[in-house]
Amino acid sequence: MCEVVCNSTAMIFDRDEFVQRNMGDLDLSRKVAALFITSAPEYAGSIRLALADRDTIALCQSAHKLKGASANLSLPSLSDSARIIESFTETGELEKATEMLTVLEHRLAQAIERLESELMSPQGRECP
Amino acid sequence: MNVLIADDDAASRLMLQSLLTAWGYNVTAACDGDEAWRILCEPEPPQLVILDWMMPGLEGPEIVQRLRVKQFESPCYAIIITSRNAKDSAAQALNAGADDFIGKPFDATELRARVAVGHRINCLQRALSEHIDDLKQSLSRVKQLEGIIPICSYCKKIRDDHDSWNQLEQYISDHSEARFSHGICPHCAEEQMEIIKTLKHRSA
Repeated sequence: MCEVVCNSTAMIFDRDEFVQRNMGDLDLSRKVAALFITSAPEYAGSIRLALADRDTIALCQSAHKLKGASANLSLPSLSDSARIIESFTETGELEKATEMLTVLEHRLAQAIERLESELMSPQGRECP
Repeated sequence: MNVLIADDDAASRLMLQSLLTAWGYNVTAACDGDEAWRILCEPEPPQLVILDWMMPGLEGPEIVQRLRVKQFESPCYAIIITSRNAKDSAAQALNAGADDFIGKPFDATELRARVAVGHRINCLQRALSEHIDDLKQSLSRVKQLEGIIPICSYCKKIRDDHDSWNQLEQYISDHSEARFSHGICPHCAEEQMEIIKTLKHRSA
């Protein structure tokens, strides 16, 4: 069984790791981040909808998708939240998953803010 | 080398596609498992495929299972990429027929090295396949010479598959790698010398 402990100290965005994953290509990093900023709220919406419908299959798939996508974007705190929701779904603890959704939405907002400020903004663009 | 990427997350797909293109591969991208399988069934399928585990339609392990059942002309190297937590995920992917397994988030340097391994294995398999084809062709020629060959008891000509009668040496040349040099054996030399002597004597 997966560990379902929320890592509250997890980093929001590891910019260096993300840019390194893109082989130092800042332009590619920004394009990937822009796509994530567009699609991630849809993933969170799918999680919310699946929870409302108590559709565990859809819930597991949506949480898993956001977990993987945010991990590739070096957003560990968001990925961790999605992992916990996936784990609660697998064990049938949907009330706990619902509670965790609030945390996930907060962390998603933080992640998008950090992506925009550290990569997409003029200040972010100046970073090497 | 042609590479197929299948991932339903647009950001991950763009990242993989851009990196692999930068590393010199020809990349095609699919956004779900069904599209990936359709591309793999085209006349000239990609030689390497990177599949996300969980996708709409066919999932990564289902695609590799199908890949191993279907007899493709040239083998396809399959890598499964996933953020699954289960400890036995790698074993499950490999048992399904995958050649390699990478976790999300992936490390770009490691991904590049693993794809290069796939490229190397694919080249070796293709070379081996070509050698086997050459051997099969040679073997088929040898088998033709091993069968029952109709030969004329008097002139020693051989009848071919088209009912034509050929000189023995012509038939062997056509059905094997053997080639003939032309000389004369001592017995025939002696006979021919006798004939020449007789002809000379008559003409004189």
